[in-house]
Amino acid sequence: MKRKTYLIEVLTPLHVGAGQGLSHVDLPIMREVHTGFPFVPGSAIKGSAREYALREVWKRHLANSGVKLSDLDEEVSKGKKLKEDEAEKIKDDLEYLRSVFGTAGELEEGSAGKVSFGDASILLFPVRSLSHIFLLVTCPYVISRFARTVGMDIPPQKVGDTEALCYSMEIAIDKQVVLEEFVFKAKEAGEDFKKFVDLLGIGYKHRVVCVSDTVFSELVQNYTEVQTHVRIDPDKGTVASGALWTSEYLPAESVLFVNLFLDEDIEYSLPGEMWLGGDMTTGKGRVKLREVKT
Amino acid sequence: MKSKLQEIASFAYDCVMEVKNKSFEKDYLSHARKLPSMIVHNGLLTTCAFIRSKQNDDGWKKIEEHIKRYMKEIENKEVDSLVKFFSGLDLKEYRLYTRKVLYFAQWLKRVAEGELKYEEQAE
Repeated sequence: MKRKTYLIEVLTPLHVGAGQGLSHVDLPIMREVHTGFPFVPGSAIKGSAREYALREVWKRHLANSGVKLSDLDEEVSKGKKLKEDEAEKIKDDLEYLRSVFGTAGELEEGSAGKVSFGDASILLFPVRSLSHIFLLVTCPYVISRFARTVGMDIPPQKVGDTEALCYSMEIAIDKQVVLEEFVFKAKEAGEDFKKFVDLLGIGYKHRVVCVSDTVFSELVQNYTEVQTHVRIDPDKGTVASGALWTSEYLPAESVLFVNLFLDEDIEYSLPGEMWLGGDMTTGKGRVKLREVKT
Repeated sequence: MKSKLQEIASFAYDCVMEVKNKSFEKDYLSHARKLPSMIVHNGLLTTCAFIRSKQNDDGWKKIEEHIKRYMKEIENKEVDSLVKFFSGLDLKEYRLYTRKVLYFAQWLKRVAEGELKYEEQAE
């Protein structure tokens, strides 16, 4: 198995929904059970990546021949959907799509895909700050988890509940860092932490700070984006009765990481940009994907 | 033996039933619905200060009374002024109480939506 690690940079608020919520948000985002951290399940990434790959093939060969994208979808997973000459024309593409994403049992050679898509975990979370508009926050647990899953050795960071380790001290005001309404003592981070941030190759590395696990947990649970939506009654021009709800989003500028595992005999890369999660028609869920070499 | 969830749910139920058929029932319901998101978006202290400023509204007055009762009966803290008490806490404790009061507020909202009369209103 080969491993590829990707960073997912969230360009517009991302809603990977967990269904109907019963707390203060009607439509919450998915969170890990044991940490409460937002995450994107592998199935969501695989589904979006598969749709992207299928659409590329469809645009190149089938868009003008009256074949629907759903026909190609069915052909890839079950076969026997396209006309023989059409299927023959894109034989290589079909074979490749099937080997990467797998097929349903109906197909004679029904098989699992050769690429395994992991869940995407949160790595950097943007939080409003007095200096630099926002800062990107991480914590020792998140860093050690990243290190563990990519087989790196990053010594554990030591940070107290009232401290913030800064990649660059230029974000501190009077030796303090303010995140939302909380004030932390700014400390220069050690070389290990800086190396880790450099490795990520993000454009905003001077904004990265490391806070304690408890504080991070607090931030990712209470400071996601919550948008209120209404539906307007077209006749009255006012809010339709009962049509007011709130929806939660992972804010733009968040960074997640995901591991893909590939069989030795397959080559596959995620697209550089794609859409994830819901509300795409209102501009939500555009993400940038970039491989990091660890 | 009861779980924390059962304890808070039954306590919230008792609070809400006190309001049933009172003149300010509808106000209480509409405030209870907003309470959890107010705490999340504005913080516990700001929310308590806001509730304090609404003393001429029987619905808010009752909600404040219920939060104080929660502090007394569930947390064993006799609180005279919510704002004074919460602003005097250490940051860690303040976060903990925010969690706890938010949890209670969510139960108030749930029970109130089920038990109290609803009046259609533009939000």
